Amino acid sequence: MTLQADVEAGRGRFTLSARLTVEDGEVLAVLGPNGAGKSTLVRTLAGLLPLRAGRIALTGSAEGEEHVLDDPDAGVLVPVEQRGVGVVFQDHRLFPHLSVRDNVAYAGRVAGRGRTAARAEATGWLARLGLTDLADRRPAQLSGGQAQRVALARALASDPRLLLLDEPMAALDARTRIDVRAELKRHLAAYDGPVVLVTHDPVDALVLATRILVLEGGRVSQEGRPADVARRPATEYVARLVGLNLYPGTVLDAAARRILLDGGGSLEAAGSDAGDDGSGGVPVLRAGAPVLVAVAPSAVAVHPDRPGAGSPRNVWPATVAGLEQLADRVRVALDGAPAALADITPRALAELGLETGRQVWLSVKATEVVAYPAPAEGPAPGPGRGGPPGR
Amino acid sequence: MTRLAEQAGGIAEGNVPNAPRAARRGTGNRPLWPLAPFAAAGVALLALPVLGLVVRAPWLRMPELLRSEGAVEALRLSLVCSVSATVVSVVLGVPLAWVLARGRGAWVGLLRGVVTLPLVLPPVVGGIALLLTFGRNGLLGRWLYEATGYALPFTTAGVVVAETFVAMPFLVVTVESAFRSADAGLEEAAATLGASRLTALRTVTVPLLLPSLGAGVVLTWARALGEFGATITFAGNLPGTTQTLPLQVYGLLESGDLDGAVGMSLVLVVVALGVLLLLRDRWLRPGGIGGGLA
Repeated sequence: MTLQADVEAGRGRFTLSARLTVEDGEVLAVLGPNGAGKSTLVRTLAGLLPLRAGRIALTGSAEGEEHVLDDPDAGVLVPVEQRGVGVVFQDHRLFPHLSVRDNVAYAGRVAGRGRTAARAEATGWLARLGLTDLADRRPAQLSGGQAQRVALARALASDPRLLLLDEPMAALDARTRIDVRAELKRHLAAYDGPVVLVTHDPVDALVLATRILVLEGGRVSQEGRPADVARRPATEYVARLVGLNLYPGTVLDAAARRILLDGGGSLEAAGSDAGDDGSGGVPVLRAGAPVLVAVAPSAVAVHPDRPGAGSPRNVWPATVAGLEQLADRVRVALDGAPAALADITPRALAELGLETGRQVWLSVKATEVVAYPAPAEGPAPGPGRGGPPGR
Repeated sequence: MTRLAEQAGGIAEGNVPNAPRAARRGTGNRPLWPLAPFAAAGVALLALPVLGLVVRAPWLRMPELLRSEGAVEALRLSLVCSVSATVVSVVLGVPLAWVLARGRGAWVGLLRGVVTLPLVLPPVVGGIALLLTFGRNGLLGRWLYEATGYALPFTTAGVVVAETFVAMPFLVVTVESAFRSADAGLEEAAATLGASRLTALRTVTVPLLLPSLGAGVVLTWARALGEFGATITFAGNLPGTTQTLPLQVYGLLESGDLDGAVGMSLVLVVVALGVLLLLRDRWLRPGGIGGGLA
């Protein structure tokens, strides 16, 4: 089955407008901030919210095999219970009065199979997901991670043509999330239909998805393979998620590869990151062309004084605006033209004696500055401030 | 009953200086001495009258009292009417609770006010209101009487109406809170697994509702059984037709038959204890009644 959805939906004044295709075996992660329309998307696909316009259909491999789920123009709206769409809800929504086994057997029972047959089938799913020991427990006796697995088993046991996961990790604590994520990846790989995974956690998207679709303000702002999205964020939001400084700008001088940044300052980019985006040898940097420039915080060097004649092509003054301890580094937020995030070691922090308000110099090698064409559509990236500390 | 006694005893034990240390840790558990006499007086006020009734009961004459024609008749009538009122309350009250729990808008609040008014209204006022509405000259009763020659007051059906009026709000309030806690999300989950709305209601919502429905039924029945004010006002006190157990107790007392009144009262006490026993998990735990009603 292939999911083809052209979604126009909304609640109240909010409108979601998105187009997506998910093939068999693909995991599409829908990534976006709160209120971007992720839940609305899941609800339309599940049939819990009718479309205002557009079309949702599942097409099969056979010639002309197509199941239209929702098409307001044609007057088609398949109700939830007839869609064959499995959903793992954020809050799991296990039936509290049924044992784990009977939760998983529920779809079979509703489909008209006898108690014994449905339970036997459920037992198989429980074994596959490592839940055999929990079969007789009630949902209230499960940990968050276990409940999530039961919810997945219950959805898979309904033999869905499409699997939807709505923030499946959101209810879990950080430690559990790591284990569950690895397990979920395994189970999703074993499912051969299309999967749509909604999340606001970039790690979920990068680890679990074969493709990422970014929703912002009810619109698709970026779509691509995880590696591409991580390397070439199209918006401030994505850049912040993947931890890059992002600057929209205009090519000033194609030969010198100098880019004038919208928010002030300029940067020289050595690599135009043709990458494997298929653009071949076509030069990306044409004078006057709008581009995005990405710089990793680890590529930004911090100096107490103006560095002498060195190799870095980009040197500019800045003021320390904030410090944040990351796992093994310190992230320094810097105001300047352009503003930037820089990652330094705690030792460097001590030696430099950095504190808020301190004047410093920044340098970035041109080879670390990645420029790529700004997306033609979608919301414009934020003003030229390189992402301030993400949290 | 034993657990109730433990709770009552717990208050007194709090006075013992060397109570277990664990119970005294934290300000929340430390006994507040000046409150103890008031609490003890409260227990006495609630418990002593029942004790007095039991002590004064004509135990030797009980079999004879219970077998008397009047007693049997009143018992039978009480059972018929209270069970009927409970059935009517369930049939009308459960859908009403669903509307209150799932309805949206200002009118729901208004409706809830109307529905729960009988909870706080003196039953005798309810009886008068019923009379003015369903009486032979009442708002609806006149129309009914002219059309069919039938009038509700002073009939057994009238007793059922009066008891329903007073008792149904208990069912509605209990079941509504259960509908609220059985959130719509579970029905959605059931739908994604292939269940139609009716199947989801039957296999998910109703089973989750059953304990509350059971409690609501028992509570409603007990309230209907003990109903006095609205019944005597609306349906009168006719032996065999509208004289239920509480009305008979009152009648016996009026006519000077104290033994008879106490004997019949004992029957109602036993029923009350039975109700308490049935609802013990709901009520005889801290915060229980609030959880059941709110």
